[in-house]
Amino acid sequence: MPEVFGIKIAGPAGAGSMSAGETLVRAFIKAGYYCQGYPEYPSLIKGGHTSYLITISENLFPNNAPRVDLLLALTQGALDNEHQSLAETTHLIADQTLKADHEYKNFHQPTLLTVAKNAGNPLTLNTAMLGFVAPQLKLDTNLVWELIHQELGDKSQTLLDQNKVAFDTAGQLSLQYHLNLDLPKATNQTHHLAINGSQAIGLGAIAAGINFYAGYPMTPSSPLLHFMAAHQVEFGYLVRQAEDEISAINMITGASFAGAKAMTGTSGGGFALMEEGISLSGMLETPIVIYLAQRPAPATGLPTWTAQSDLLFAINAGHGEFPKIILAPADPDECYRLTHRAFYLAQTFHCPVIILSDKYLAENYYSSTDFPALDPVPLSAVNATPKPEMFARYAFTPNGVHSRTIPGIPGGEYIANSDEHEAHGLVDESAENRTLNNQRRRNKINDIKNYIPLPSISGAGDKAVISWGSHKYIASQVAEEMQMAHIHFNHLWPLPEKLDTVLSGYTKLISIENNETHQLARLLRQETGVTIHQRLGEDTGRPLDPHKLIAQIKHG
Amino acid sequence: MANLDTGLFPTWCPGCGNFPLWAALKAALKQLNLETHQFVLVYDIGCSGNMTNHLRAYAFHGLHGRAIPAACGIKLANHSQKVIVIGGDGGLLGEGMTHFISAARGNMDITVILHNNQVYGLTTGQSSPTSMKGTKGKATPLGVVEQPLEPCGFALLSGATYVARAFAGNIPDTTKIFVDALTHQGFALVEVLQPCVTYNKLNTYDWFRQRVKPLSITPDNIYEAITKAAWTDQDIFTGVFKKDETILPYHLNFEILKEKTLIQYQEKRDLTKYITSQK
Repeated sequence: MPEVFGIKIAGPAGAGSMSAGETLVRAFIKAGYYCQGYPEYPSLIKGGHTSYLITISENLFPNNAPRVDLLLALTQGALDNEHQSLAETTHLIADQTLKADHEYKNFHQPTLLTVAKNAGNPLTLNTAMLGFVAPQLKLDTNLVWELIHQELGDKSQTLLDQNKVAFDTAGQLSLQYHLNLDLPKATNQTHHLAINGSQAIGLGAIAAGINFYAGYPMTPSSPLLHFMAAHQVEFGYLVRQAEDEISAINMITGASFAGAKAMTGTSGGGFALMEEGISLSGMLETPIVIYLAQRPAPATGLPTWTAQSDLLFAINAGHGEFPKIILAPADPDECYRLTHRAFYLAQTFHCPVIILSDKYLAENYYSSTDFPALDPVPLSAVNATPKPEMFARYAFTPNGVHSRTIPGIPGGEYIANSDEHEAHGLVDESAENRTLNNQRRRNKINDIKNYIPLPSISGAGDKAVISWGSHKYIASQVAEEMQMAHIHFNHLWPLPEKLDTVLSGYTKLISIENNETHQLARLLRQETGVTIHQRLGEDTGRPLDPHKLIAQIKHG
Repeated sequence: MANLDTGLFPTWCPGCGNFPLWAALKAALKQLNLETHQFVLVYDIGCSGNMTNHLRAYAFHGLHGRAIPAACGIKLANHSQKVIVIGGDGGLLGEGMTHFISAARGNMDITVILHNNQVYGLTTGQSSPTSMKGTKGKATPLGVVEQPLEPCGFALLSGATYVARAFAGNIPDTTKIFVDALTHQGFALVEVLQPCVTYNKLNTYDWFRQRVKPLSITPDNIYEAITKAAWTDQDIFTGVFKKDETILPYHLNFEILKEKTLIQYQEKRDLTKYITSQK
């Protein structure tokens, strides 16, 4: 029995390889497998080449399978495009009319296109493929059909009927084939969730008691915008599609000033537009949460691909010097908990908190353990006693945080002023006041550090692999293979105290990150003085390949 | 109502149109009998925004051009608050134009007081979106090439449900329009002709006094409203160009905001149903 098994379904955009892939992921998870689904697609709506890689594994949160064991090709173009990803042993399933320019031992060619056409609609080809492959994967066909039915949602009865005919006919056809696929063993954990990073972040925000989400569409942050919008009525919060990202961040800052737990989400270019607003929140000390789903840049870059190249950008976002917090989850469970924590930290420290994900985490489906019920984060506003002077919202405190009021509270009147201000928010440009506020902001950064845990460390040894955010499991595979310790960061800013002591306990440190200029390695050197001896990683738009990293370490 | 005085005297130039505008706003707030915790003043950046330090109330002094989105966020978070935007022609129609259009289209329930002095004052005299063609500013020494933007007509085309113009040189009429605008449910624009005595030597108090005329009746259609709002060589009408109370303000389109305000939703949320659906 293999440890991992890779299934890829490929076709042009619009042919349904994405939805078929997600259906298979859900079916495997319901059948009790650990599973991960990884989509690749170009920035277009119809045509091109898209693929969905399903990795079934004995381990929770598996990395992409190193090879494709089973390819489901919907069209000739898909077959031609995937040719290079195939091994000699790969099982191929494609329609009878398709031609492979290679001899494959296991090329299976049922008449799927005929099945789809006879069902009354050639677009049911992806459903026919699922109908054919389900029995070969020993999946419960009733369950798979139920999932397809859910996916089709409120489509017309005719379309549902056509898909059902295609599914059943292909299932009958499948009885004549015996592929003998060798799958990893199931965990029998049938209570696992099928969930992607975006949904998990959304659930974390909902659990934290979000009142207001504003955003502007941009891949790969849009899935969160869509998720938040879809559930606003059910959970009692409001989503606004803003006219641009600048509006979105200023809207949530206004909403937060008025007492809303507020969040926005975007990707690189949109985040660039938000920077002035982040600085504003730093000055006004309004709690806001910003979700930054990274994709390869500069500029439009590779819109539908993945990268970890905005770490230093996020840390340095916004003009001037002010406290901010940066978190980077690695899996759905962390997405859920850290998003909830982002709201908590924002309300505790009255500052912007940024959650860093990337397309790899945002759009990958995982089998995940259950999410615990969490209490909402309490709103950090106090009552006030009316006095002749305004509320001293920004009075000096040792840890830099003063209680705040919200409009509607009598006696709580103050000015949230983007000009440097005295205790009540009135403009004050004196050097004395500036120094006092700088001290307050510095104290706040120092106090935040008390809430920042040291990175997680697994494995032993005097050599260690270092990673952050979405690349946790890729790095841990490398560390295990190389018998090294693995140091992983999910709190990126500010960095915790005593980090230098932790890092200097190793004779060799190897950083692994999905960017070209080794941003975490540079950050660690800057903040701790510790040198990262080997800096690995690149930004090809794809997640890093653990096998390539292992080879690089072996060759020094 | 409680005292609106912060104890600080404004830093505007002597004779600045912001003084009478400030007086009219204070008079309107007093007439409406609003307590200082019942409304929020949202200031843009510029000479207009420097009013921040001279009204004792809940206030938000944000970024240049971005007062409107902040105001929308405040209104949506707690729609029991009256939300008033104080900004200039530069911020609201230059950097902030997209937000102006979007809030007007959505009929966001905010009152926008646009201090129109046709110049960037606080940055020492550059031309603005409402500067007259040919105006020589510090950054346009050869004269402005563009046509001036007419704020009221622009607001009408953007779908604003209340559009009015006042002249800062007439405090009683300006107060009356402010009171009317502040009681309107929906997006209200009040353009205030606010002479800049330092950097705009053309559009002076006298220049306006020769042209400003009260509008006798609010037009009943948008074509006439736009026609009346347009400046001519002889006439600049003040008064209400549009008042439409038949369109729901933005927030009342959402069921969840009909019972209570957004920030009153503080209950623990049960995710079980959704999580079960993903198993």
